[in-house]
Amino acid sequence: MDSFLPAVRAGLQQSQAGLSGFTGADVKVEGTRVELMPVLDMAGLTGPKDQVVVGIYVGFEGSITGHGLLMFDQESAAWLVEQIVGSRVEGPVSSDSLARSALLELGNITISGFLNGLADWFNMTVLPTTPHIAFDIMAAILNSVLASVSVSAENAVSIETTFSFPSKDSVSGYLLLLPDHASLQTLFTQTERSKGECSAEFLTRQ
Amino acid sequence: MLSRVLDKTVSIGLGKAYCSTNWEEILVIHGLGSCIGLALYDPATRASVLCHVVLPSTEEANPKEPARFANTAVPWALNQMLSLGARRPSIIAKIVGGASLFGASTSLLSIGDRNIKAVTDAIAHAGLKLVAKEVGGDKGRTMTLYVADGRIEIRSAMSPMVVL
Repeated sequence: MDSFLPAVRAGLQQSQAGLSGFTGADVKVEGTRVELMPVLDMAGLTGPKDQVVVGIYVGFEGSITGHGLLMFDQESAAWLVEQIVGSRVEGPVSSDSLARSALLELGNITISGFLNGLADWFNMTVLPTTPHIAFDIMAAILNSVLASVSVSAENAVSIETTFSFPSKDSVSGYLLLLPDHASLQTLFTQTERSKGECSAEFLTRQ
Repeated sequence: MLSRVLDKTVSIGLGKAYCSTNWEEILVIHGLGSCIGLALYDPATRASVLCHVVLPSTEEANPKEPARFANTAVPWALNQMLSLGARRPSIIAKIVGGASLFGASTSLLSIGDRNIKAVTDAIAHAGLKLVAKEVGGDKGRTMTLYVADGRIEIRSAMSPMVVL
């Protein structure tokens, strides 16, 4: 997994650049914990199963196919909306259309940027699909995506991701990458290949 | 007493199932999204089977997890009920779930509608009585089956509880 981390960093850098452009602020996006885990272990990932969270979904096709999902708890989502639109939402974030749009776009830019970063790192073509947003029980959001992949995928990449704004405050969410089985193999094959190329380049420089 | 009841709560994961005749047991599926909770119950014997159905069908004749697929879950659950002592004419079926949380515009995430149809068709094919259902829509559901009386409680985010 360690050799996959540079690709994760490349992806998050693209997310960071996209979000900084979107908000007009110097946003930092960092992966604080990256894990490869069985998809069926993801159901209890972010807290109590009945906790209501916001999930932004973006599928992807091309050289690799699968699903991307970004999840925040409601408090973090409300804080992010405040950073983006400049004012605090009164009442539930889920019932405010401006807040929904802001979070949908934040998720879209984060996931699509990450996928573009991966594509550039591995010199592949990855095409994100239209984003969708849901406010619901965490287990229901996860299960809806896992249902689609539980036959075709065994493992997924979980990235605990921190979003920091110029106010010096930050929140964390989970960026989940769920490629189908063949696509995950492709990613790891490409990772080993790029590692080999880096080593060869290093030896040449010696 | 409360802790004793809580000890008897059984959580059922994706593609899994649980069979019981123990009136103290409470069977739960947390966060049904596109999946279906399929409950078979016999009031006379309290025989209960709860399946967490994930996908509409499989080509495999004997999948490792028969509850995972609608076309194998229903006949498998029926056999389990009969082996628990249930009488076929008194078995009732209730289904919950099949939502499309992210909308039905993406083919992969419209599994909910396909799951509803597949489970409903399989129940009809098996000649079972579908007595109640709470399906579709765009909200996730947590489903709780009480073996004591076959009652099902459904909880959703920001919605009142529904009892089947």
